Amino acid sequence: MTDQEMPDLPEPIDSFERRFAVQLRAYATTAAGAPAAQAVARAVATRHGTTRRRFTWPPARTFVLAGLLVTGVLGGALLMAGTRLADRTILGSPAPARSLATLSPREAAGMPIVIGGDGIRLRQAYDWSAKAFVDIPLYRNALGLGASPALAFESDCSPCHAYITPDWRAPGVPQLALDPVAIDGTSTLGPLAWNGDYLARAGVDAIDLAIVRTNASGGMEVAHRSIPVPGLGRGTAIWWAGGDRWIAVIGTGADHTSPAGDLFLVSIAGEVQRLTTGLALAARADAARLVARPFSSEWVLQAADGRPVLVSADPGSGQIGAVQSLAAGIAWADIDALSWFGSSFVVGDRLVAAADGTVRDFPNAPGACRSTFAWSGGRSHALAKVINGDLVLHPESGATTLVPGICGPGETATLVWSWSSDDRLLVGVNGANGRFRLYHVNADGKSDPQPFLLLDTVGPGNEQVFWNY
Amino acid sequence: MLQAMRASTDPATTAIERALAGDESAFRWIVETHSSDMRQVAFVVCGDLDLAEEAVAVAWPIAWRKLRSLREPGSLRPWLVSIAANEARGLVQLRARRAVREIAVEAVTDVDAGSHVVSPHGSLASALDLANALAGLRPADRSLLALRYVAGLNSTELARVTGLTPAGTRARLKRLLQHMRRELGDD
Repeated sequence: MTDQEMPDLPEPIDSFERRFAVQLRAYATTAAGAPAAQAVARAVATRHGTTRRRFTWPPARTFVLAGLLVTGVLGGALLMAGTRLADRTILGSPAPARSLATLSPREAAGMPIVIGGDGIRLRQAYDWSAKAFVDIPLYRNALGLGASPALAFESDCSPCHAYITPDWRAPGVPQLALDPVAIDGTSTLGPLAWNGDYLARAGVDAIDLAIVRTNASGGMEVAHRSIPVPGLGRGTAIWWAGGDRWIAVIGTGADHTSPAGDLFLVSIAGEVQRLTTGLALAARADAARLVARPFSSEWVLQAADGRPVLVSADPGSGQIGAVQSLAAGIAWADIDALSWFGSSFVVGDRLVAAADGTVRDFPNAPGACRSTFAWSGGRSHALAKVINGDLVLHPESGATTLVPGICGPGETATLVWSWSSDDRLLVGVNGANGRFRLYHVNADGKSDPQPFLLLDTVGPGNEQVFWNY
Repeated sequence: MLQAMRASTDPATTAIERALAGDESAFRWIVETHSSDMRQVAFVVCGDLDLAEEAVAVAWPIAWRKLRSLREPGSLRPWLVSIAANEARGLVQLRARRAVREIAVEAVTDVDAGSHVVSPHGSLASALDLANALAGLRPADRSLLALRYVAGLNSTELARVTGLTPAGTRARLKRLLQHMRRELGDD
C-alpha cells in the first residue's frame, strides 16, 4: 500500500503517520503467510455446507477440528463395526447425509469423533487410520485443546493415554494418526484440569502433566512432566486456576486420609503453593463442582461436613482470598446445579440464592421433562432449566425462554457444549423416539426452535453427544 | 480453477459467484488470496499469533456463510479483514492479558558480537515499544489502526466497521495517532 492509496484520510499525512504505518505493517508481517488454503476451504465447505444451507454452524475456535461427536453406548454393533455413524440427518441440508465411511481421510481428520458413554465418560474414539472405532477404557473427559488443534483424552486406566490428532494446519503432516501416549502413574483421576494445552492429573505427592504442543516440524508432540507436591498425599479434584497455567488440587495429606484442609496451587512451570483454607475440604473427585470464572481462582468446594463453600485464591500472591459458606441448610448432595459464581443453586424445582437462601420455585408440570444445567459463555454465566418442556434461562433476576418446547415427557435435555467465545450452547435432547436432537441455543433468547441435527443411532438414556474443537 | 481466476478481469467477482454455487476451489482461491491479510490484521488486534490464527479460523466459516450477503465483490477484501478483526477483538477480550510479552527468538539476530540486536523488521526495541503501545489500546482501537494501516481500508470502509460516519472515523483515527505519537515518544 502506498500513501497514494490512502484516500480520504486526514490530510496531510504527516511524517509520523507515514512512519507509523510502515512500522505497523512491518509488525503485522509477523503474522504473514497463508494457511493451507485447500485444507481450509475443504474444511469450511465440508463443515458448513453450501452457503444456501439455512442452518448455521457453531463458531469454532478451531473450526476444522469442529465436530467431536460422542454418542453413547449405542447400538454398539453399528459403531463397533466402525463403518459409519449412520442415518444422521442434517436438517436443511440439500445433500443427503453421508456416512462416515464415505468421508475422505482429510475430511475425516477435521471431524474427530468419539463415542461416549454415561455422563462425560467416553468409551470409544474413531481411529481414522484404521477406519474403525477403538475402545478407550473409562475416559473421564474430552478436552478441546484450545488454540491447539490437538484433541486429547485422558483415561483412568493405568497407564493413561492421551490421543493426539496432528495439526491440520501443517501441510504434509499425517492427519490420520491417533497416537497413544502413555502417562505413567497409578492414581485415580480427579476431574481434569484443562486450559487448552495440557492434561493434568494428581499422583501421590505429585502432579503429572502431559503438555501438548506443536513442534518445529509442524507435528504434534507431548512433553511429560512430573511436579513434586510435598504433602499433597493423594490429590484429587484438579481444576485450573488463575489464568491458564495453574492447577488447583485438594490433597488428602501425607497420611492419605480424607478430608484435608489444604489447597495446592501448582503451575505447569513447576511452582507449588500450599494454601490453608481453614476448612476441612472433602478431597474427593466430586468435591469441586464449578469453577467460578475462567482464568480466575474461585471454586465451589465441598467441606467435609457437607456444606458447599466458595473458596478463592490468588496464585499471584499465594494467598487464600475468601472462604464463604453458601446457602445454609443446603447440603452438597442436594444440589442439582450451580449457577455461575455460585450465587444460586438448583435444588429440585427450587432456585436457592446462595447468599441468603432466598428460594424461588419453578415447578414443572406433572410428567414434564426436567433438566438443569449451568454454563459459562462469553458473556453469560447462567443457569438453564427445563420447565414444562421449555428451556428457560435463569440469570440472577428474571427469566428468558430460550427454546420453547425443547423436550417432552420422558425426555431429558443436556448441555452438550458451550463456547467460550460467545453465548451459544449446544443442547442435546434424548428423544423419546430414540433420536438424539441437537439444538443451537443462544443466551439472548433468539434460538432456532428447531433442532439442527438428529442422531438416529443414539437411544434414550444417559448418552451425550459432544462437539469438540 | 486458480489459473482461471488469475486470468479473469475480475477474479474476486468470479470467485464469489463460483463459491456461492458451491465451487470449493473458488473458495480456496479466496482463502489463498486473503488469509495473510486477515492474519496480519488479526495479529495487530490480538498481539498474539495463536489468537490471530484462531480468529482467522473462525472468520472463514462466517465468511462462507455470509458470502451471499456481500453486495459488492470489490469490497471482498475489506469485508474479510473486517470479519477477522471483529473475531480477533472478540477473542482478545476473552483472554486474560498476559503479563509477559513474548518475542520470537528467531526474530532477533546477533549483529555485532552481542553488542546489539536487530530484528528483520526494524529495531527490536521499536517493535517492543510498538507492541506495548498497541497493548495499551482498546481492542476496538487496535482494530481500527490495523484496518487502516495494515489492510489499507479508507475511512468510508472503516465507517462500515465502526458504525461511525467517515468523518467520525477520521477524527477517531487522528486521536489514536496522537496517542500513539505520545506513546512512541515521537512528540
